[in-house]
Amino acid sequence: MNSAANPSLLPPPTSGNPETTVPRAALIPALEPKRVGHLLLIDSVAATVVWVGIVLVLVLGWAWSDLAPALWLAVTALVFVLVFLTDYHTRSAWQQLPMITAMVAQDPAGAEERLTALFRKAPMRRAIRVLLCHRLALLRYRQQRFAEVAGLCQAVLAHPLGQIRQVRSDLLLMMVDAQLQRGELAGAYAGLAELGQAGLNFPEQLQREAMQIRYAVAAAHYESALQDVQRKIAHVELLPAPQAADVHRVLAIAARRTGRARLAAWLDERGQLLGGPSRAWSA
Amino acid sequence: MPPTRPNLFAPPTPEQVRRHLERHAARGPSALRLWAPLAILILVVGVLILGGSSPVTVVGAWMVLGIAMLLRAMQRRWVQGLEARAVRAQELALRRHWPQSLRLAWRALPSIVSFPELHARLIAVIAHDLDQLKAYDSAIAAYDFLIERLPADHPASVQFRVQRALTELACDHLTDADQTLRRLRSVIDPYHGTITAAGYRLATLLQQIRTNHFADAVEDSDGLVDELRPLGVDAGYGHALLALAFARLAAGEPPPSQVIDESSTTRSEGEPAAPAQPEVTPAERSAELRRKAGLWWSRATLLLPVEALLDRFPELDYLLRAAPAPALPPVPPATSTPPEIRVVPGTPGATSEA
Repeated sequence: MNSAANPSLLPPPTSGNPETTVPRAALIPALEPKRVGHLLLIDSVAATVVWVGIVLVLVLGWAWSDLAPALWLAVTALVFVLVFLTDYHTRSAWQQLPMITAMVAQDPAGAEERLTALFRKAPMRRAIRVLLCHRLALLRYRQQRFAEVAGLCQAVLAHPLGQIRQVRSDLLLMMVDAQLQRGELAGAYAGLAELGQAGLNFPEQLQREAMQIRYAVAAAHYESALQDVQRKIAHVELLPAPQAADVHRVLAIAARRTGRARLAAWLDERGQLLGGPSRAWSA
Repeated sequence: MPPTRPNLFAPPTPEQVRRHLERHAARGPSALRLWAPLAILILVVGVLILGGSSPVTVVGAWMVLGIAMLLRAMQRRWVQGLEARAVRAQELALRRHWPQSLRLAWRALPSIVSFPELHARLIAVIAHDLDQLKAYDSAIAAYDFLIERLPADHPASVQFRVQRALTELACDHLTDADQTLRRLRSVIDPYHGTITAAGYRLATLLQQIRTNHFADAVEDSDGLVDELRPLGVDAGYGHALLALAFARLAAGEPPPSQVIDESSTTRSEGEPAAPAQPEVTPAERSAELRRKAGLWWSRATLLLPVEALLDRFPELDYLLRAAPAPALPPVPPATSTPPEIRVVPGTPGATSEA
């Protein structure tokens, strides 16, 4: 889908809302985006050294082993150490990943602890590192530390994701949502435009549509938010109940602002049934 | 005009489901796939050691490694293709294209037996599709297959057992459903506020309706809106069932004392508790029950169209038949379509402001 053609993605006004945060005293300090970049770089360098080392050992091995056996041995040893370390760290992270995923929802403190320990390890396979960053972003998202979510996602998305490209859309969705929560409409606009070019599956398309509606209402493009509202509502119904309720409330705001009182009341009532009594919403 | 082909689709029978699932049960990754990389590495090292350092040996080793990497890339692509098929089947189910989703999942199953997680996901899709296609016995067979292979306290197992209870109730296997729900009672508490607990609550409500315990349904209705909320718009089914319970009581079943107690039956979402009422006549009580039925029905139709409600629970037809009765307030608009929006005939997708 081409986001440029979508009227709900008009250039945004700048605005800002205070971020909702939980007390941070008990939480481990934020993982700086810069550090994420360093870790990904270390992993890439280690992988490159291993491959170059293997080439040298295999191709030039027969010549080196005669001319400079010490050098050949040193390169071989370096390759082995790096392969062993990378494999050891990767295996450890890979084994813990399902547990961490479950803990993000049920035991955030435990997930935090495990992730912190794993982020101290380097090198590991880049794909696993990206998955760890993804889980950390998920954890921060649940903790409503939206500024960190946005920073973390941006830091990871700045690097090529290689084999695990499917994580990209998830990171983009999280980033846009975090920016909408913080009222950073310029960043949300850019993220939505990027999402428009990403190959999304159907559930992701639903998420993007919900965010486009929220963005449109936050940017006061009420008419475009209400465009084809029946189809939008049919899609919104497929989202988890709290999200569906939020979008109903946002559409109700748009309906009210455009003078469609009956539609607004209908959306409000549905929103209340789906999500409970109204909560403060940052849009 | 060419003759239109009749729709030949028929969901598989329980026996067919059982046979298909047994024949293509998950086996885990093959030993060859697990040990192939190590075997290739040993082969390369062996060739290098035994063959010395001649250029032929090195080129040979490189060729073996190259072939191994090519095979690996092909295998990865194959696995991605399998994952894409599983995701596609789930997407089709989400879009409510049940037959297409079922067909895809059914055909993809044999090729994913070496990926247990993906395999379980596809069987869950098959069970869900069969349930939606009203092939209830077949759906139960698929749920049973999944449940038997999971630890009893596994969250997915609890979720599948709730689904099975709902399916058993849908096809009037009331004894089986009762047993399933009894077993779930002791494990459902940790799932409070989740879709699993909401599904369980819907199942208990449906059980009360199907066994004609309308008074019990009304008595337990306190907080039902909150309990069913995780189901999203599907909570409307629960609201409609409760409306039916109120309407049935209003129609003549002698209400227990609890039914008369307004505070326990009708309060929800911060509605203030009603003050203690003086003695009420049966006519007033009946009118009040009908009013409550109308309220819950309006909630149900706010979330779901009447056709969807009747399609899943035909007994709700009673509410429409009871609507003209003088004491029952008029049924609200029988649609979940937003007001002020009407579909323009002849132009698909086009809408206009009323």
